[in-house]
Amino acid sequence: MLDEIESWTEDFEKSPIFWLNGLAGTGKSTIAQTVAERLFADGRLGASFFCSRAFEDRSNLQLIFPTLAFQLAQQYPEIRSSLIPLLQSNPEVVHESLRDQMEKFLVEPLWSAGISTVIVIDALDECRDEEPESAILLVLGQSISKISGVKFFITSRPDMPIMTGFRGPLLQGLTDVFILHEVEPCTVNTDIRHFFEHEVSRLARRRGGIEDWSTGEQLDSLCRRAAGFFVYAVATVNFLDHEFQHPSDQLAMIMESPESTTYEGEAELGVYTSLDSLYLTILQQSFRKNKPKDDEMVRSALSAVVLAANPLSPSAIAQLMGFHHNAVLWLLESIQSLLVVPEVPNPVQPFHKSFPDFITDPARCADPRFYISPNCHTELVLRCLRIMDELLERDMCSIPDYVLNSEVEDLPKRIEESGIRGALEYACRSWYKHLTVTKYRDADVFSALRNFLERKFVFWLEVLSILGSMGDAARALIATTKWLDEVCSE
Amino acid sequence: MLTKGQIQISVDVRPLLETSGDCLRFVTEFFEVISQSGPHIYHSALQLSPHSSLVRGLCGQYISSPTLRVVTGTPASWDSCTASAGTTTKAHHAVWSPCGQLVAVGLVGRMDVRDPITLEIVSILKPSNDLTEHVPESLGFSPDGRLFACSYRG
Repeated sequence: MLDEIESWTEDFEKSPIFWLNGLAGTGKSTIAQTVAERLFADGRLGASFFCSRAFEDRSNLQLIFPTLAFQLAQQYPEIRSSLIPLLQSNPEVVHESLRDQMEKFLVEPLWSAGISTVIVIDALDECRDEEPESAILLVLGQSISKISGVKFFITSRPDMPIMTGFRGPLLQGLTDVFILHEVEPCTVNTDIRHFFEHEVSRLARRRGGIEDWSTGEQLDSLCRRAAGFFVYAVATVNFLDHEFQHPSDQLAMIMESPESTTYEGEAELGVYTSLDSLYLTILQQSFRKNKPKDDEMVRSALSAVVLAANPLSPSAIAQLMGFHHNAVLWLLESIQSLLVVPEVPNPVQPFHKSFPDFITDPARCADPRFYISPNCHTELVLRCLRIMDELLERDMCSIPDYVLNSEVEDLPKRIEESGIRGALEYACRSWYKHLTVTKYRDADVFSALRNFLERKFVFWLEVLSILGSMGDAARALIATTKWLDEVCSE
Repeated sequence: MLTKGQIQISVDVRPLLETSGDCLRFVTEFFEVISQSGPHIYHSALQLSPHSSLVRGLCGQYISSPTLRVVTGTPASWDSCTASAGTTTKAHHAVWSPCGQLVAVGLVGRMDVRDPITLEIVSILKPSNDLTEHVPESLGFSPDGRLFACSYRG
């Protein structure tokens, strides 16, 4: 398939758009990454945007074209020379409609430069877009004929707005489509088998004396369970390579779970069964000695991982949720096959998007101890309000009177030393995002909100000013006022 | 039997809505100055906010400025443009009273008569029960401003 994509990137007689369509876990992002790396190595990658729901700025449609333009300007001096006057004369262009952005950021500079290049957009379905037809695809369809030397490589799940966009009259004849989940099962299974064999032998070499732990029969079973989904294979290998457990014990746990289970939300597709079963096995085995109180902590910490508006570090999760840092680190590392737990102070993230999908879907996450319901937002907003109540105070960065923030030379250092970064910064910038999605009217939330607005409001504004995030203050208050108004109308 | 949800709805959220709306007005009015300088919240923004502002009432104790003190001229209430920042309800119609002291706003199932400067609700008028899902077709004050009428389709 990489060869097919390679030949498409080189042949400008072919369609200007290549759509790699695949279900979650079929390996789209890995392929997009590989395509982008190869193009970059050849000097043919114009720009790339890897959408991700886990990050606010990477799921914001308004940022796609400006980001692509920025990268193109770094790559091509002729694009740079046409973008700089545009931004100087009209710095507000980043707030214009997607259509105007497309014209000004991409079409005009690329057309006047007359260059040939490839642009990669991965996981378009991860961008927040409420339209019935993908807004990005709509403007792409309207403009792509004007920039004939530019090709777009796009990956996404087969979500309806995106399918509608590609099937529309503007793009239908201009798009090559490759449907990843319809590749012949024997081809995928062979690849997955190779992957298992390679990784298992590597694991055996690295952790000595365990060469015989995996038989051909077990490999067959693992391949059947993967059912064509690479994400299953990757999660399995991560699970086997547990720091404190012997791989053969880990494998035995997987083998004990049935090959086909009834835990599945996407029953009509019938594809998540074994993946859900694997996730559930990992969670249940990792926390099998837990007491009910420990389960609550697991659910709280996991809700901070999967529901946070932006990923948090383990120490920020501990501080925000009121747990001991080492306890959170232990907890997260216990399920390191499901999470990427980096070095401090970097944020922890799910190893794959299918894990948050699984754990927030009651039809898929069959064990209620681990299910992250929308009500977990209530706990998160209460935690945010609590930490702001505890920590916010006047003049946390000792700013001199009558100076502009920009005149404080060592402001970043003062912010670091003030303890604002981490949990408090997250709470200040994101509390309202948890508040406004809560459907459950909890009296504690109203009480904490009243306390915050009456006692900490100006200190909160001061912190947002110093962080350069006053836009968050306006957004928070607009959203909160609207939400309260809706509550009053109920 | 009462459920927890029913008990919670009985919490009076309206004062909280008013506080939140006033906080939004404060940010709208002083956005530029606060964006550029955090300490100006205490030096100027709070001092220059109107006497009727809830934020001023709650945080007035933090007003401090070594060199500046507002002696006179502090507005009594938010100007009408800033005041409107605190409302999010979608109004279908609005009419001014002949004296200009009131504004009536037509909403789904009710009409609010408000002070146009502070947007404080002076009165809420509700139609009969069978019109709670409807929006008034037209509204109007009598020439002397003492009576108010509205009509519904059908």
